[in-house]
Amino acid sequence: MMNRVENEIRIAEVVARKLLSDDSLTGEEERLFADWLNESESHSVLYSEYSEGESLREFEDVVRITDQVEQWQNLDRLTRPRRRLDWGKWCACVAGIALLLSLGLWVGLYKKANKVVPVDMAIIEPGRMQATLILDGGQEILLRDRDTLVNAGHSDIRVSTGQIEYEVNENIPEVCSTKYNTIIVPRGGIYSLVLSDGTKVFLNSESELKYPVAFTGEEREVSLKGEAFFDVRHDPSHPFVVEAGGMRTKVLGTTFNILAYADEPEVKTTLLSGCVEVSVDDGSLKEVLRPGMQAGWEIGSGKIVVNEVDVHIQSLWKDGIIVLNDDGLEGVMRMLARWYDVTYEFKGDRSVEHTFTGKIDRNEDLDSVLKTLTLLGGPRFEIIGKVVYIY
Amino acid sequence: MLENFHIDRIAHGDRLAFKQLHEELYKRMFYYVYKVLQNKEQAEDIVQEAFVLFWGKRDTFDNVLAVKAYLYTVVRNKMMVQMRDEANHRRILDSLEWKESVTEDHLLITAEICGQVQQAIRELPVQTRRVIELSMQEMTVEKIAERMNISPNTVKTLKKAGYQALREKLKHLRMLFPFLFLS
Repeated sequence: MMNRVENEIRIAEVVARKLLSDDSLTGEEERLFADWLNESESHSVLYSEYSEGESLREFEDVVRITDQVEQWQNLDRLTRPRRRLDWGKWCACVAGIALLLSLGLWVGLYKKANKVVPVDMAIIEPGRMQATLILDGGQEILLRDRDTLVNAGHSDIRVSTGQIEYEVNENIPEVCSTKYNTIIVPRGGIYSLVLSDGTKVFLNSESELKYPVAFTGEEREVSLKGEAFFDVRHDPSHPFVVEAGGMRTKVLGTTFNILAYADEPEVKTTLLSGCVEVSVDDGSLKEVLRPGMQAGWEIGSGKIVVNEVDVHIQSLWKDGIIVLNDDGLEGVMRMLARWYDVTYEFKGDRSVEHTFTGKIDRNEDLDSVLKTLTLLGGPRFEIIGKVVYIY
Repeated sequence: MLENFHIDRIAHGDRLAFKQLHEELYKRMFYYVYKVLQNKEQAEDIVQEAFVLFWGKRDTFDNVLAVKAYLYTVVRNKMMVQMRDEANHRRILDSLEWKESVTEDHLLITAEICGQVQQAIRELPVQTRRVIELSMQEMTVEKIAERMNISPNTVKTLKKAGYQALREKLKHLRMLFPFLFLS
């Protein structure tokens, strides 16, 4: 079958050339053409139909009814490769993070004094452990990745590497309950803290958490802007409540992630374990989440949408990994802008919708991350100063 | 035309090269299937399936002829299955009849010739292209001049240039199939 098809294709080539440029055939080609022409009566009829343009007109009439561009779009959808990093690369990423972390520790401990400044290229470094702690009285303390001890009146605040811990003096909780501290993590920063009840909070870039120095009321209440992962100390008699972007998340003791950035269209709470209740508008809308579920509330809308998601990837940011799961370009750029403290501007054709699936190491510099995005089928990027241009 | 195909690039997953291949071959494949089945949707589906199958094993081809032969063979087999199913269903055609119509050899040749000529003409500059199209409809130089509102001499010049360009385009066919001319 294949040989016969090939043979017909060959004859078609020769006849096409004969039709358009009858003086350019070689002797071999002329012979092939003559053999075909003499093979059957119908062939000479066909040839005259070709040469008089009749066949071509009929061909055009037939193909006019179909739309090649539309057909290509369908085919493109069916055959377009899924954009994801392969498993090997992912493993390499994890190994890389581990290596970087351990190297970072050693370098941090022993090589602090002589810092090597790179020349020429401006490399935009990933975020670091940094935050500002604002005490009740308005005093600001800049937190870096070093040990500090802050004595704020009635409680001891111990600051170790990228983490604050509160030790409340048990006998004077009433005074502390009215005192609020705020921790602000800037763009390009990440920080974690342990609250006085033992609850662990990991704050993502450009995030803010306001919390009482000690929890004394019926509810343990904090408020959040941005993104944070909570590991709440179990205490059924004192529910833990997070107020974020107009959504209240009430829990007894669980682990969950809240995303509530001012520039994101939705507030999202994702539950990893335990049980949470989310509500908006003073409880007029309410949903109870089971582990593995994510509640999304489009700010100002009258509906909380609950979806099942892969919850573990939702909080991997705290381990230094950016997980993309069919995420749109703009969402990815908003996140990168927060972590690398840059702004971005679209320069190219915006009608193309890019989505990305894969994992990216947040410890890489911005240039490498953007190169990976381009490799995953994304647009071309250019970094000038602190601005990323997207083409 | 054919020399623009980058089979090696397609083999490496180049989407643009794949798109160009589709642009070039889609219409002739459609014509071939449509002429047998006389059904637009079926023809579009079968051609699409063939391209999907080709993409799945794109790295096994190293020349244009093999790609074309593969695509035509796939659609031909699919047409046969389609017609056999319909024949079984309707019990109108016997097995010999459907086989005969599908393998009618001139359809593939006509599809290939018209597809190639159309593609070659489409790549010409607009005015040249119009002159060639009209002269292929057996229109005289004077008539073409009248229709296009240009002088007969200009028509002659464009016609000559057009055929020269088409000759140049089709010259490459020989280089693509050298083995054909060795035997």
